[in-house]
Amino acid sequence: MRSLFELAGYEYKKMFLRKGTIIALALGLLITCFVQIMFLLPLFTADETPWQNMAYAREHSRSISGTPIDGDLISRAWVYSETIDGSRYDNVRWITQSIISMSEAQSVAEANTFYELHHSLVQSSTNWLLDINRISERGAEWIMTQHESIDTPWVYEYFGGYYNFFTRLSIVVVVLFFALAVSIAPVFATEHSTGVAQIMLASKFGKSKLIWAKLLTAATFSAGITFVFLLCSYGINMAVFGADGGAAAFQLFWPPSPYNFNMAQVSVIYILNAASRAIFFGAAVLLLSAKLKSSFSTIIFASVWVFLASALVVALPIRWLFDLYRLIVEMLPVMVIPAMSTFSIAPYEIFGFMFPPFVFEAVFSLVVGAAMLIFAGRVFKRYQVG
Amino acid sequence: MELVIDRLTKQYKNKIAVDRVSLSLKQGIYGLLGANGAGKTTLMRMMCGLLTPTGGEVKFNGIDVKQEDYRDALGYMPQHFGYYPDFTAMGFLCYMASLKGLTKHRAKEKSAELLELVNLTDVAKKKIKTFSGGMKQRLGIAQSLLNNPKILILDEPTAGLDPKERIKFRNLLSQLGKNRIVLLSTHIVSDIEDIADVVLIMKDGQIIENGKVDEIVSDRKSLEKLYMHHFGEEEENA
Repeated sequence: MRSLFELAGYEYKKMFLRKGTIIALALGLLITCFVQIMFLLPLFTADETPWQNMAYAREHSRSISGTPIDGDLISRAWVYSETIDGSRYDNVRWITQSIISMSEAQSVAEANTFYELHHSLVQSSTNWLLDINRISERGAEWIMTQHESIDTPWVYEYFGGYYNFFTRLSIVVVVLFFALAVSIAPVFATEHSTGVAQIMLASKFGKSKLIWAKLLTAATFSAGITFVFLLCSYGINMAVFGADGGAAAFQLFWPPSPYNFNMAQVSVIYILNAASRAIFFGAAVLLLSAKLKSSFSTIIFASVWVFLASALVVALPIRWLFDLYRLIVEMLPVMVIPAMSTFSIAPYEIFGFMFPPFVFEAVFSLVVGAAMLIFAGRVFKRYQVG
Repeated sequence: MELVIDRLTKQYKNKIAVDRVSLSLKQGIYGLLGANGAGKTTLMRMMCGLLTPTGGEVKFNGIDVKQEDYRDALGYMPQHFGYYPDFTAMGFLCYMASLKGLTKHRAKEKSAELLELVNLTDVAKKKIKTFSGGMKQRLGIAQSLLNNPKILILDEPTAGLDPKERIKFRNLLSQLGKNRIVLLSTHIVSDIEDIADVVLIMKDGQIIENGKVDEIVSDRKSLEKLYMHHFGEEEENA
């Protein structure tokens, strides 16, 4: 076991001795940090004093933190909307407005029936999924059961840090996966391009522990770098925009969500989910590296996958076929966005069992990722020098 | 100690690179001579488990070439020695030692010892990318000895070495051949003439001569003349 970890240590050493890895990670982290705060820089916004404006809005918003979102608060939010003091209710108006418009209600007059409107919003979304055969009757029941478990009334909290964290994730993840592609592509390919593969495969552990060490390195590196990037993003947002709002219902950010999670829980689940998907992606890159024997070709293929447009929506008549298609599309790196896939409303239905996307896609990533890692190892082991 | 090669064959689409080669190698130095394309490298790669043979088998003391125990007894230096440019000589040897199952402490000791042996101690902490061809070749020889192998397979190890280094290398091989099987391929006759216990001459994938220098030279007077007899035309064309 000790030799396995020692060999994995050497794999890390090789990885960090490559300029490409250092540049990709440094650049990735720089972009990650930059996108979190770019709209606080006057260069990227029409505001002349964006930082002061953010701080002002935050203080106003914080002044009503801890207030239950009920008819009274919603009414106040709309009554004071035209006044200077009304800015403290901006977020409440945004939340209620999005639910009202999504549920196709006509006006804020229905504020007292806010949670009924929210219920009808989830119900209509569920019915739509049922109509297009995306879910079964049991799936629809499952969604509504989840929805009914949500604690109400929601308590308003300022959640600017979490809002920014969630909305910047798509960029962070794409940058992260690109950096992973550059870093992992040489793991097997370099052994071929340098010619070291010949000596390795003729050595005692060349066809056993070395391969496990490489697989372990790819998996831990993928997960580890994901934690670094996402925790960096999380930390900056909490430090700059404020760490409050962790206990607020996730529905304040994504109203149709049927899951009873708060913002902090969603962040943890999301980071773990992203790490499992990164392992899946890292395994795919490693497999390409072993197959193509070229870092450059591997990076090109992996990059195409990273940036592949995910907007291809097809209407497949058979539910399991659509689920398969959805799984493939949602495993695209650009789809690692909470609202879009990780916490999407529709569950995966497997043999009558319901799995929320953040569970199923994480398990799928780990299982298929492990299989791909093992397959990548076999490809290297069976390499014929000649 | 016996390395048995039994009807070893490698066939590519329309070409037989190694054709039913059978050998029994015991302790000592074996010089494998042959022109380019004779099948020396293919034979050696199969003996190292780097190429799967089309037919036949390789066993060392009954252990199959595919097994880890076989590789544990093997030291190999390929024709084109691969390395990591940004590793130091010491770092590279320590890594190779880990791959060969040496503990960290033993790896450091053995690496230092071998760097001394191949006269690279002064540059132990320099990056390999700064080395000359001869220095890289010596490092390649050092890595093949890390696990004190019972079978040492060296594919054209003297390429890139200057005359002084060649003499030193021959002396080293003489020492190494006393307690292991050393198989050394070359197309330079003088590399093996004085040190090989047994000379194997390979042509068109087959071993056409196999014996002590005196036995196979017989009326040809020298190994060089015998070599020219077999490959003279090919060498001139090359």
